[in-house]
Amino acid sequence: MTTFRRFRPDDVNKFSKCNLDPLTETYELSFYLQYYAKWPSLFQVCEDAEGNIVGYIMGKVESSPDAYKYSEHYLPWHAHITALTVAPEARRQGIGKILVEQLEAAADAHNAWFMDLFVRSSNSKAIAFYKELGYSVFRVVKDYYGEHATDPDKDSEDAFDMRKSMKRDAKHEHVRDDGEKHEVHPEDVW
Amino acid sequence: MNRQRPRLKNGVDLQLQSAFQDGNWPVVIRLAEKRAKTLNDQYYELVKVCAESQLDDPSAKFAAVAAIWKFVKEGSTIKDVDAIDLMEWATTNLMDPDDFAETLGPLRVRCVKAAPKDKIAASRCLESCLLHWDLASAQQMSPQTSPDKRKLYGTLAQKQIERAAQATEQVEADSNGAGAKSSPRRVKTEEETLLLYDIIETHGSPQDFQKLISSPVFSPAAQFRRGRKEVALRAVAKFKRDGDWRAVFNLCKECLSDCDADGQLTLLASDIAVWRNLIDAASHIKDADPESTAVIQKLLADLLSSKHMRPMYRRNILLARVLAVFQLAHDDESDLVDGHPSSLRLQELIRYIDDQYTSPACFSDVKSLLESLDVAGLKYLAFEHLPQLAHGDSTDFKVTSTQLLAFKTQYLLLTHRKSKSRDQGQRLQCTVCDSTVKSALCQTCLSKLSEASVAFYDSVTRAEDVNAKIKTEVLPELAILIAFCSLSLAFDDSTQTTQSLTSQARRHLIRATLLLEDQLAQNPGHSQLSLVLTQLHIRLGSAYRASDIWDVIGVKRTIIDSLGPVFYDRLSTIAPALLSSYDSWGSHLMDLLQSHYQISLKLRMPRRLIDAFESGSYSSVMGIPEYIDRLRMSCTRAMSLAEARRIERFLGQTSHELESDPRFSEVVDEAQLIETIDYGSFPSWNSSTIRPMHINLRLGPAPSNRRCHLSLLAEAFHELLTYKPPASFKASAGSSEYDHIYFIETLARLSNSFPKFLAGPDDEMTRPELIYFETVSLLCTLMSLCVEFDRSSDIIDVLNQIIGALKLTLESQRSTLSHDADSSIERTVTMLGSMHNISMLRDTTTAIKSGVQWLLSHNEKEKARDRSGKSGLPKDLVAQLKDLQTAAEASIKEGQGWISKLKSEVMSRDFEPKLKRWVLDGDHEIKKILGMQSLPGLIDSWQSNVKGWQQVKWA
Repeated sequence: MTTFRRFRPDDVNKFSKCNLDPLTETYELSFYLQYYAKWPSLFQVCEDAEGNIVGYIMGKVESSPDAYKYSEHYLPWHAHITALTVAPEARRQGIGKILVEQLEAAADAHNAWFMDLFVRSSNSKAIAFYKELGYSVFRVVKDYYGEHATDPDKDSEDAFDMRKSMKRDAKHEHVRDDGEKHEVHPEDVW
Repeated sequence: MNRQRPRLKNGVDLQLQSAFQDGNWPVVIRLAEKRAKTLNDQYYELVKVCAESQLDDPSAKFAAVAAIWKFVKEGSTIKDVDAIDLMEWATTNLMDPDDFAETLGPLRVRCVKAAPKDKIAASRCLESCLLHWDLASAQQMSPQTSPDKRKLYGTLAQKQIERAAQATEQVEADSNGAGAKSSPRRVKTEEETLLLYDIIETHGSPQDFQKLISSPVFSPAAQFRRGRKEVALRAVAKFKRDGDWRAVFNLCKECLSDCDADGQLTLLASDIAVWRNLIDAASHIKDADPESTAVIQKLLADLLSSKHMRPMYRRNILLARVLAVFQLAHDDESDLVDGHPSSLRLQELIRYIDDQYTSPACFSDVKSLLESLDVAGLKYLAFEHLPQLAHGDSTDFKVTSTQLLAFKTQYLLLTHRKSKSRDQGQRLQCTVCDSTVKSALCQTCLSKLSEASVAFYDSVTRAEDVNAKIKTEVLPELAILIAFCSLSLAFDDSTQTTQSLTSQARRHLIRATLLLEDQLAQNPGHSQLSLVLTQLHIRLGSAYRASDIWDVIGVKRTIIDSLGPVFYDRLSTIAPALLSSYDSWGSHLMDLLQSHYQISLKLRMPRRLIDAFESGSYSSVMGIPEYIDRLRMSCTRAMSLAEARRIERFLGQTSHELESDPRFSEVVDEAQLIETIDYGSFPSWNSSTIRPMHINLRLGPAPSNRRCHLSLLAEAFHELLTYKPPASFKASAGSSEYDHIYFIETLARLSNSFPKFLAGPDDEMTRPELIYFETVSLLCTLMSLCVEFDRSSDIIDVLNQIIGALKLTLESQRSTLSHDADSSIERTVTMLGSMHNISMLRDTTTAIKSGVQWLLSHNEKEKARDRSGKSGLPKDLVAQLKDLQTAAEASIKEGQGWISKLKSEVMSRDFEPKLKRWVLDGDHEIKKILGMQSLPGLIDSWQSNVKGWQQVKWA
């Protein structure tokens, strides 16, 4: 029994169902307000009948700084998924998919070339989730995360930079099929 | 503004730049003075003033503040925006933030007006005014500079945006779009459309709004078709406020009927909120429009066949179908006839449950609908239909989760008023087991439910290879349900939450705690288990264990405001040493509570507000200040200060002045503090006819406007009596007179403020808290009256009455610590759970003792000053005061004695075996699954607390 709508600042007072889950990070207020201030249509929530937030997605639209315009790693105008979370009790209902689709609609409204996101290479569930939604690995960012989520013997973990073309990229010029073979270093990611 | 040292503006020579960056202030002063003379530039004069403000000399320190006031009073202008930025930096922390609107704000306005074409300066000045929330100055920076022209600004805004909207409509009407490039500024983005709605709603007439919602481009339905849902939701809210149910119905219907390019229904509007609005609207218009119900039925059927279906949307639509029947069908028929579902609503509800019973959210989805059924219908679902659905192998996830749903539904029924009726002899009877009951809860039925749940829990956990999903999703909730059955008996309606619990009730609490602790060991970090256990431990006085559990679930930063009170409220009264700032764990816990406000409210408004302006996010421009203002007035924020101050007082730790803390200085008497607690993650399975369990488990009422004000006033009273200036401070001649005036004025202010908050409902604080606040209020009045004592007046009777009342408050406070315990272990457990009352006794006695001490000392000074015998208090009154002081001292000794005794009991070797015997004494099904492995942890926690109490200063 849910409703999808834009984020409002008061929603942070109803975040517990999502944010008490150990996999969801709680940020400083300014972080949430930054997304609300700059990209309000890309910050969507899903609330239950009592007004509790049972899922939310935070996204933004941007391009790399102009100084990198001629770099091979330059990113043109695109949308980015910063955070996506669904409360444990609300999972397996397609809420995550609906939130991503709504963000994609907002990305199209902002005329973005593509949507991208970062995910731990060990997070097979998330990778499968995004692949099902049409995302593919564009590049592998070596040792992007400071610690490994599943292997305590390792002190770093790779990130998959996953992408999906938005309507503007009708020819699919900003995605690639063999992205897992393209490795970059964290300093190449801005 | 920016507290970091700014850079001097471009063009300033390197020598001065370097000296400024190095903080070499004497050199900066010398060089700036030289440059000012040579270049005749006001900027350098102000650099000099700012440098002077960095010196330690107190007279020089305020050079920048004095300069600003001089500019303001003389009406002169600082033309260089870099200079104003410097002045703002130099006066940070030296000027009251509220003075901005009278000082830097107007100076910034003058600066902008002096150079209207300098957009960079204008935007910097506007930014500063917004961050300081000086809207009067900010508004004057717009081209229209006339003050007090709110209506004019409103009309202008409306006309401007209407013109832009018309331009959009014209371009849209022009099919080839030829005029798009040449047309004036248009309303294009969703944010601009929302702004259009805001302005028309605020400043326009009903006709203007009607015109807007009829626009082919800007009507809510047209906007929705473009994927802009927010505009439609805004319009529905407005229609509802206006009671225009026909408009609500039409708009919701139109949005729900939205199709994509392939003619498929989009489902974008298929939210439960939209369905509810549609059904609500139909219930209002169905008499005038009988077809409205059929329209809803058709929509439901159409949407269910959409190709875009997702499980979540399907759930919403199926539930909307049930809601429609509950709200729109006749509700006068019996739900059950001859043991079979008869009413349409029960049949629809069963259809929904049969489709959704494996969803973890099924119970919360249908809970309110279950409560609307008649008792026979609810009983049928709870005891027949759901158990039948759950039939099967208990190692199967589907079976166990359905059995859990059946148990939850039974628990809902047993806690519902509907499950009791009056027999012919007017005796209360349980309609489930037909036995006579004494209270709103049937102990027999609850015990049976507990027994069945325990047996089921036992059978599941004994099975080999328990399914991982059963372990993580079913067993924790099953354990909570068993605990709730036990707790419901503890909090039967004969017990008030604010009163102390009976020994039997405490035993229920301990059993529930031990059971849930065992379960938490299997499911570390489980949020529901952790929250319930945090409350249980605090209620039992076992705060140290509560802090461990709390730390694991990681409540921090943004969510501390809404969840903090669950753990921190009254924690200082339970375990003051736990939060000691001299201890790393205590500092860590206090930092988690306080840093959110320090970081988020550093500036009057956050810089994100400027981001919103720059991004054209107009709704965020409105939303951010509203939220920040509410956060500033949050009860949790005030609570964070009250808790910290009490801990410091209890432990004799030094602290900063209360007046200098914004959490105190911003809370004037008129401030309305806002209560925000997020109970969303707590299990809420009781019926709505009794108190939710999380309310029962709380130590007392949640932080409220009244209690927070009273707590801060009481802290101000303590500070007034105990304040000592820093050792380095050298009092000047005559300063003691000023100190005395300050003291008397503060006392009068407190005396005036307390009564504003003391009157009110009893359920906003615990009884010991109320007694304590009344005591401090009486003391303020007594002290004020004694200081102004006039022998010729009849005031003596009043004073005697106040002293008598104070003696009574002391007695009342002591009486809250009496209990019904029979055995020594019961007494010990009761005392361990009564630390809040002991703290309030401690605060009451300390307030009386220090207040009376001050009065007696003041009286001695008065007598020494005027030896005529005419000054000072009469001997009888002094004797009464000394009696009161003696009574307070006796209570202090008594309290100290209780703590010593408690320590010897809790630390003794036989405490654990005695406790274990007592916990397991008597028949109770829960014992079958109680491992007792968690008992040592509970005892450790109590022992730590009692040891911590040894640090408390009583006088």
